[in-house]
Amino acid sequence: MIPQAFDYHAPKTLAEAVGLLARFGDDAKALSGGQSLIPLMKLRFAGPAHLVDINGIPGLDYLQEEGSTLKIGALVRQAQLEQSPVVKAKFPLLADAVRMIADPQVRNRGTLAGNLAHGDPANDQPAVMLALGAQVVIAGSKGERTLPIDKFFIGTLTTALNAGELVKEILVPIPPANSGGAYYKIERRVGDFAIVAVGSQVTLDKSGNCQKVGIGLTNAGPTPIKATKAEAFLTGKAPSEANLTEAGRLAAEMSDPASDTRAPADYKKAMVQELTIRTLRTAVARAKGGAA
Amino acid sequence: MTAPADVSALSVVGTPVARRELAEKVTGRTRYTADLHRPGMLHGRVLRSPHPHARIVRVDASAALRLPGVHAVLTPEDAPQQPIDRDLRALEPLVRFAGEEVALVAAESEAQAEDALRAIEVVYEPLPAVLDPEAALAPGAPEVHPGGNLVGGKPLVVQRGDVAAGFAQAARIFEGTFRTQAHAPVAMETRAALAEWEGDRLTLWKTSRAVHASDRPLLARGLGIPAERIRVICTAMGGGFGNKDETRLGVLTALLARKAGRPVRVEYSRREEVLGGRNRQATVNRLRIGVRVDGTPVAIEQRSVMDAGAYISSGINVNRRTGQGALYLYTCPNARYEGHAVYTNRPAGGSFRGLGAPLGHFAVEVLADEIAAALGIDPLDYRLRHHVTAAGQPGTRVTAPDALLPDEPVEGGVPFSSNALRACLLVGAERIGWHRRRPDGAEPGERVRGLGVAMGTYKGGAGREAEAELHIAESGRVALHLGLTDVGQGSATVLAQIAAEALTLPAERIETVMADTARTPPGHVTAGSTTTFSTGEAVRRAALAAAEQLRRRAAEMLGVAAARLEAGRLISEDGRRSLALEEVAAGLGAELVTRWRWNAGSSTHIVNSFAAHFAEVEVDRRNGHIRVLRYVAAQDSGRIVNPRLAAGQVSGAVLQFLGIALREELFLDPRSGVTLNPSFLEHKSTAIVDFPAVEVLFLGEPDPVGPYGAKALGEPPVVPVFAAIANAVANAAGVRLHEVPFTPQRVLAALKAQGRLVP
Repeated sequence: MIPQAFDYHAPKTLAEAVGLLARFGDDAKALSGGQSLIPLMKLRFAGPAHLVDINGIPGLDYLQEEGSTLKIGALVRQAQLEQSPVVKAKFPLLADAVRMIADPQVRNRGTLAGNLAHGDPANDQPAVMLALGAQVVIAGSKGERTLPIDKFFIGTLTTALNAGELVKEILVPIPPANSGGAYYKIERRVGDFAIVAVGSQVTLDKSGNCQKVGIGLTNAGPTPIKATKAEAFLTGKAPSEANLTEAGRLAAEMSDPASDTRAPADYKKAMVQELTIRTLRTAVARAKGGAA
Repeated sequence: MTAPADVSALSVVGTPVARRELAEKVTGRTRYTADLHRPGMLHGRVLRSPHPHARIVRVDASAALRLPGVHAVLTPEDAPQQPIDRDLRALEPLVRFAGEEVALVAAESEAQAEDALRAIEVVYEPLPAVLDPEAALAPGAPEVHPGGNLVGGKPLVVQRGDVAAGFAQAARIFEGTFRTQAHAPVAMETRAALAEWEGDRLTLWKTSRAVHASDRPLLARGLGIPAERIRVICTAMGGGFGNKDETRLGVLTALLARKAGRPVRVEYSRREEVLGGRNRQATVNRLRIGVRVDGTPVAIEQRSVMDAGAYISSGINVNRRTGQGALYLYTCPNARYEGHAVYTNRPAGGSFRGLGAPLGHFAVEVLADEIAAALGIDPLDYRLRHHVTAAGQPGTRVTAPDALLPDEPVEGGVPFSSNALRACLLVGAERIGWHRRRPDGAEPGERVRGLGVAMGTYKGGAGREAEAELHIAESGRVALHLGLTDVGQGSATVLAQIAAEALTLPAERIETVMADTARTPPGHVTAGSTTTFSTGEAVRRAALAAAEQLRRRAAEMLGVAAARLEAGRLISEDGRRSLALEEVAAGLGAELVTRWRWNAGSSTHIVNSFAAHFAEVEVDRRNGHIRVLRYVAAQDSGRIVNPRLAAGQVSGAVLQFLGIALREELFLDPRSGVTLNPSFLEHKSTAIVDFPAVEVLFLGEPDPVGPYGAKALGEPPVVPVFAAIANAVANAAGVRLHEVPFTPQRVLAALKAQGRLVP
């Protein structure tokens, strides 16, 4: 439980941080909340020679609405999201999910950006951001680039971030009226990583059909999964029980979970189906203005 | 036997005195073993085997010894090869489970020691391993220890009456196979030890539940030095649960310190605690119960197979206690228990709260529900008709008439000292609202609710030698010296209350000095829920003896024939003159020391504690989740010495076992033999937010044998938990669960297999 030796850097600007990351390349890791990286280092599963701590960089903890977008800076903690009136009012899916991430101590330190950049399919935020259709703004020594979230996750613990890059901010489109979302998680106990979890986001049109559907799956495969087949099936259709059930089936079909000490793969797959149905049901009820 | 004390006359016993050192603990001032430092102290770390079974061909520490800060490496070549326990040596050139100790490093910092571990080169010759008892018992299986894998060479058999004759009379025979899992006990504090040598004398600070009874003699054996040269101290324990009883860590730390020539402290990480500590053993229990037409049991037979892991440790007691439910919960003339403890190449098992009692009770209490259901009898009524009563079991006494009865009774013809099982059933049922219970599986829909009941019995504290010493200084300071450890259950508080009661003082006036071989009289292991009963009586007798001497001295000082002790004052018979206890103490001329030693027990009565538990659960029939909605624990532990601590013990016990019932399990990779989840990340223990508050009821009458009427409390409330939940699930969803833990996937599979999914 003792990390191997490393050099610690505390840059004061984003440019300085990116410069350090570029200089040390694969030998460096960016440290924000440290809730994933530090445990890996203590177990000696990760052993970066250089740690670039971005916590001292001013101006990265903004959480602000700008037009139809919610901008979330790299140092916004999960606890900030949990307490945000905007999140509560306009992002029930995110509000559901953020409360279920570990415990208050972890949420006080852990950041949304770090939760995504870690690339762990068991983390909750990737599925949420996939369902919400977020974009990731990436800073590197050569400037910035913006990537849709569904292009961000490459493999287990691997993202589209290159050596020398870090997540600068996340842009989340603010859902229009008649939208709703929900996140359900099956966990061994409160505060655990998910056995599986599903996040769904639905916008209804005037006739009550599904105009826009986003479904993200947590811990249901080697990467976070956007259940595109289920989304495509439901888009333009009425949210009837039969249609929700078919969407659940399609989401499960897209999942690719592994058996592990948490549960066997067939149970996880069955739960992807069940949770997809349940989150869609709640998302639709919320889109209609229900409190469910 | 002591006369039952009059309730109204008690002023300290029975009151919710605050736990000792609570403020120190919650403000972080308590010094646990891992908080201790000695001048020049080094940090020790342990290298562990990656193989479940291998010969160690060579250990090369030369590269490690060249690293900065490294002072010593201890290898099997350095360790004495005499056993420290029946099957255990300090370090052997052979490893028997993945995670076993291979070598140790002492360095100036923990980081240096950790780095040095990685520089030790070990050449292993892997051997075939056996990872489950069935494979271990197969002919030609690799031997974990010489002499075969069945511990002791034969199963333990305990019986009463004649089960074959009993089954011959039975109208129906019910049977089932029940499984319980391996899991980690997870005390909050991990194991630690600090060894310091002064010449040929050793002081060892250690997490321990028995500094006198196990650490010191086993250290003497393992180190090959006389026990008189060894002092063992446990400053404070961060949770024990009956589990911190192995001595290998102490021996290794002492050997490492001797080799390094400096004090050394070793503290286990959580991973090491799981691998190198002692885990709960998995068991398979085959149970048969034969009943008359009306359901009356006439024969009960249980066969248990326990996976002991690589070392038996206190698994012998676990195996024995697994039969307690079958042998003693229901009135039945014929009962037989056969327990097989089997060595495998898994991390060693050991004792843990309740020993085997909760494992065997799971089988008995679920099968009892199945019998009731098959006969169309309400499960509460079935228990009210057939539970063991105060009369004990039918049959004739086996123990010689004047001899102390054994602490784990099997014989008939001996009554209990007290038995409030009936009250526990009736009052518990009233509290949970048993009248609301519907037939099994009657509720339609996705989420269904149900009620379950289960009973438990556990030995009430008899069967241990116990000793206490009371010191009254001339200054008036009163100190209780006790060899055992307060493992976190609050024994220091409770025993001080008992001394205070006898001396008519407030509990705060009694200091407690515990778990230090240099300052306390020999004490037994803090185990088996015996402390209040056995050491409590020794405390009471020592305090009464002190009171007698104070009264005599006071009478002399007052110049009267006799004096009485009341509220800390010595008063003349006529009540006119009195002296404070301090004044009499000052007049003694020397420190007053009284001792009492006894072999706790009774020759006329079996002392057992009892419980009836009631659970209300909700089962989600689409995802298999069990939610515990309410839990009522009705306990008979005789008189409750401290209601606040006692309620905490019961709720803690139930919450701990709800977590085990629903999820905790250690997994081994079947190919590599490596434990897959030795961490809190993947071995999930209970958190306070997981379950509702436990409703605790104490329904016992003061027991005529125990001190001030007290009986065992710490373990009895864990005994019925598994079955109470399984029976509630059966009532809610109509499915029977025969394997702990009741994970969602297992519940869902049972729903599917038994045709109980939502249509």
